[in-house]
Amino acid sequence: MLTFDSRNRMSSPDIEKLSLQLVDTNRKMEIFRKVSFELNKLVSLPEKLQTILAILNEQFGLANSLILIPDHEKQVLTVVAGHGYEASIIGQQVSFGEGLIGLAAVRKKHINLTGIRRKQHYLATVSNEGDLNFVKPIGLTDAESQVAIPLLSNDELVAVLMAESRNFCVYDQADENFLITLAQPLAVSIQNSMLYDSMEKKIKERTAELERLNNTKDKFFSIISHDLRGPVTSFQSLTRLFSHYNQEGQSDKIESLCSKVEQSVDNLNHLLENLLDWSLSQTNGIQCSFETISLREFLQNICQIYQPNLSAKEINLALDVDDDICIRVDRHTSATVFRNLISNSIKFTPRNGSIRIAAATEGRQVRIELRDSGVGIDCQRLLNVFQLQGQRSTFGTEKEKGTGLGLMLVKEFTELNDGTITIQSEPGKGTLVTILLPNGK
Amino acid sequence: MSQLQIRLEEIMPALQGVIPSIVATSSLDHIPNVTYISQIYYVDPGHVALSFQFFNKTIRNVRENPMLVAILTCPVHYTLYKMTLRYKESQTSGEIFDNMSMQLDALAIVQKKEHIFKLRAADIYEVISIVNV
Repeated sequence: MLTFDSRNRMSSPDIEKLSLQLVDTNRKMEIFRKVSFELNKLVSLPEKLQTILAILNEQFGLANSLILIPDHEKQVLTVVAGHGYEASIIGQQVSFGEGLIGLAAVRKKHINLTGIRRKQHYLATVSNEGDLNFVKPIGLTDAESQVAIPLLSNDELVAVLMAESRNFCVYDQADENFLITLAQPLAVSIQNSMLYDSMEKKIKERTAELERLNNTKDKFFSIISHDLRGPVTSFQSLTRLFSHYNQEGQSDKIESLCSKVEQSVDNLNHLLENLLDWSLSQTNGIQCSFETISLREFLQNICQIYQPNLSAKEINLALDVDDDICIRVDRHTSATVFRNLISNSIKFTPRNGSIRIAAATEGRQVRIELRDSGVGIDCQRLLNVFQLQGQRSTFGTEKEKGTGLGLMLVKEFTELNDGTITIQSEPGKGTLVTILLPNGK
Repeated sequence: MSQLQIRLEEIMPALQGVIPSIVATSSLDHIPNVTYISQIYYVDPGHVALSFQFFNKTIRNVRENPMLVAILTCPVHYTLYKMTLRYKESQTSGEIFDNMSMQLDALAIVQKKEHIFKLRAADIYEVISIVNV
């Protein structure tokens, strides 16, 4: 209440009071200006909040303050910025409802307490609760004054601002009201920054997905233009030769051409199968149906397919798998894995070489090893065998054709079956492929 | 309308509960009772509140005889104030009750004893006078 004398002049204590109020208002306006400036900066959220806490300390005397961001799913608040504490406080967590901070978060209401330790003693004394246990979840262990302000945006908790001190009556009603006012732009800015971060993350994910799809498309065109074109060109040449030998009446030459046609058809068939499987896997079109199957029988059937190729190169294939070993896999995708691995081994094993497939159970998994006496893979190529980038089919020891897709498919389909694959190889010393698949027993 | 020698807003630090206050009441048959209380809460320029957690003589007395005298200490200047109050009502919900309850919870939660320290009511008192002692 202001007082005036007979000449309607204000008394000097009132002028002094108004002057102090003016200074205080100016100081608060200055804080607002600085905080608003910081909030508009394009820096990371923790950096922004750290600077704001420094301003609040400098201008407002908040020597110990924290800003915590909630995780509504896990019901915890994590410290993202702190002033006046060890750096290790960043990342520390407080559960919803725990301490002053947790309570402010749950109730979405500000709390201002002073004389904390004496009040706690008082409570314990009047209730005959005996020994006290002042366990503070975070911050100063001997704080006497604490204020926790929930930062809300559209009634949603965005963060909690907490300040504390070892002194009494640090934060009066005016300070509290000012912090509550300051909480509004802070909340909006934090929310905007979080939205920005999540959009950035989504953009990065989308970009990665688009890059992957683009690589897939490139690979697809590469296969179409290179690997698929080869056999078709061969057919064209063979057709001309058929026509030529037919005109010449050379039936023996026509007969020898037939085996080449058969081989080209097999290659083309294998390529198309892989291409189809790969396309399905890229568009998540593979539907797995897991079943328990006998490994020996399963591998025997696959080896059977390659019997002509093995005989042609006089390669000895040994299957060292016990009858009682079972795997729990999807039959179709697993068959693709082993078809490609066996086909690769045959392709890169010289005439009179050997391939051995062995298996053993290892707890919940079955270890399958495929070892060949082939030409091996050099270190550089070994690093990229499962990558799409830079893959090209390579010719086998007797100029056999491949698709360049095989090992990529093998890895993808092994993982689809909850398995893992590793390859060890050295040029001239053969290759060892180890696959771990779920045990069917 | 009550005449206040000192305005309630001027003694805000004394209402923070840093130093316990002394309160004196008397029963209907004029038997006095003097005790300490943890905090007298500011409600508005004309009212304060006392927390009602446990049944005790003070609570019983003011229900019979509504007058209460409190001695408060300013924790900043150590000035003593004598406050004469008249009990008006007990509130078990609303903003005043919620704020007082939350302060109590905040203290009790740290000791994990929030189930024991429950606010039964916020007893609202009209401020009759405040004078320096």
